[in-house]
Amino acid sequence: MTPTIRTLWEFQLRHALRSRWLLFYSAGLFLLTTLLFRFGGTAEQIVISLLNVILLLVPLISLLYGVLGMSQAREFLELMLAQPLHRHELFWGTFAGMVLPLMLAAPISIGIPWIVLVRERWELFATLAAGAMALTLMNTAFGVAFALWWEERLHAVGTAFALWFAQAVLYDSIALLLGLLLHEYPIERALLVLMVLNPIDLVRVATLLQLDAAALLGYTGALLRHFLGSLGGLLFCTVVLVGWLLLPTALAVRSFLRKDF
Amino acid sequence: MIEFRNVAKRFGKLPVLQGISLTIEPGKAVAVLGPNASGKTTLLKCLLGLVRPDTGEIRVDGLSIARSPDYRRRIGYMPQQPHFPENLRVIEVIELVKRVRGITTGIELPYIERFHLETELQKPVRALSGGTRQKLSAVLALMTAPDILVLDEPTAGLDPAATRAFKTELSQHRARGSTVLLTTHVLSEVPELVDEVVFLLEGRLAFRESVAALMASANSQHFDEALLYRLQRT
Repeated sequence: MTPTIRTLWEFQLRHALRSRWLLFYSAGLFLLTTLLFRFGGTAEQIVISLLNVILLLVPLISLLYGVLGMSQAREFLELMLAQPLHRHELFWGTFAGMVLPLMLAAPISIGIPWIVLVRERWELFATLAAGAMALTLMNTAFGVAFALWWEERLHAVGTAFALWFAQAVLYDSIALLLGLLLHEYPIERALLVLMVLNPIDLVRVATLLQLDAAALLGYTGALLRHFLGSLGGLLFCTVVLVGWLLLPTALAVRSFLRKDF
Repeated sequence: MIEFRNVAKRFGKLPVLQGISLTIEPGKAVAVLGPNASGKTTLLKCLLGLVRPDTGEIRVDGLSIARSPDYRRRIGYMPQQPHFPENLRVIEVIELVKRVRGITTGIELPYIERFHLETELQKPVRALSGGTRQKLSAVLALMTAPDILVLDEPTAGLDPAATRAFKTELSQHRARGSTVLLTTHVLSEVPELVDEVVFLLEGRLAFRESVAALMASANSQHFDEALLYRLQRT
């Protein structure tokens, strides 16, 4: 990390840590987790409820945070680009300062009630936290890339909503429909490929593989366990998720380096 | 010396700059004028590296600006609409720019005093008015005593006292030999701020002339009349 990236990162972090968005998001997750642990039943049942919230909420919040954070910073980035620094330094300093507080918000907001009220099943907490952090990083990077692609903020927000809808809603419907319509054909491997296309499903399957909740794995999750077993399935999901982290980050970097401000 | 060599830029299908060639000698103050969407801001942004020309080259003191961002150490920039991270305090924004430039001394202090920002330093940027943001932008551009000042509508949004302070600072920088490249829609202040005028029309260089020659040829004491007279002959 160059001194310039460190400086930019430090100031962007200060800016992000004072953001009301971050405060509301963290407080909301903390409250929800605390309430679930107080009234929600066993640790496994609560993890399933929390998982559903994380899978819906984290990608949406992160996408919007990425879009709005980058589009609001456009003019300031213009001023910073007029300083003697490289574009890649400005990108990494700004992006790291922006995404890190949001990445840490979920583990901290879930972790504090977990430490106080649960004090066991740390492997579940680790998977949940890692999944939330991965979804945050990936979707924030997509949001940043959309904000750089579109001049109009509304277009970027629209694209972000479309991506969220495809990941969180449309994908499940398509997987289920394919399973129903083509159940007489050997489509299992094709459905596994479909699973690779959706990071939300990867996080869901990776978490549920550690629970005794086969019924909740969904069609693709059950297939994955059938083919690779629980540990193999977890490794598979992790490797593919790393690819999913790299793709939008690379897109965001490329857009930033080529952008006319 | 700043050299634009056959610089062209399109945004999509729209040509914004078309083969601009222009040399600005050290110590000169030049206003880039023209109607809306004539390419003024894009030309300044090309010099800063914010916009990359499709063709052509820009050189500062003989070195292509595409080689390294170091030339920007010598540039002070005031954008048209200054925006800063809303949750940072004014002093933090100044500190950020200083640290990126590797400056550790209190170079900003006289400028803070000149633009009466002493009471604003601890305020978050989101609490500032548009005029105060413009003053902060002026401090950031001027505090490093740059060799080259690139100013996009610098007095827009400044109150009369701050405009006066800005003009005084600008003349002091010019007296020290700074090169100035600015855009403005306030034609009446052009003779006060610059020696020469570059006029752009639809991304092309329509003419370049000294302010004195423009006013003499129109036989007018008013710059807007002189400019209109010159445009009618273009």
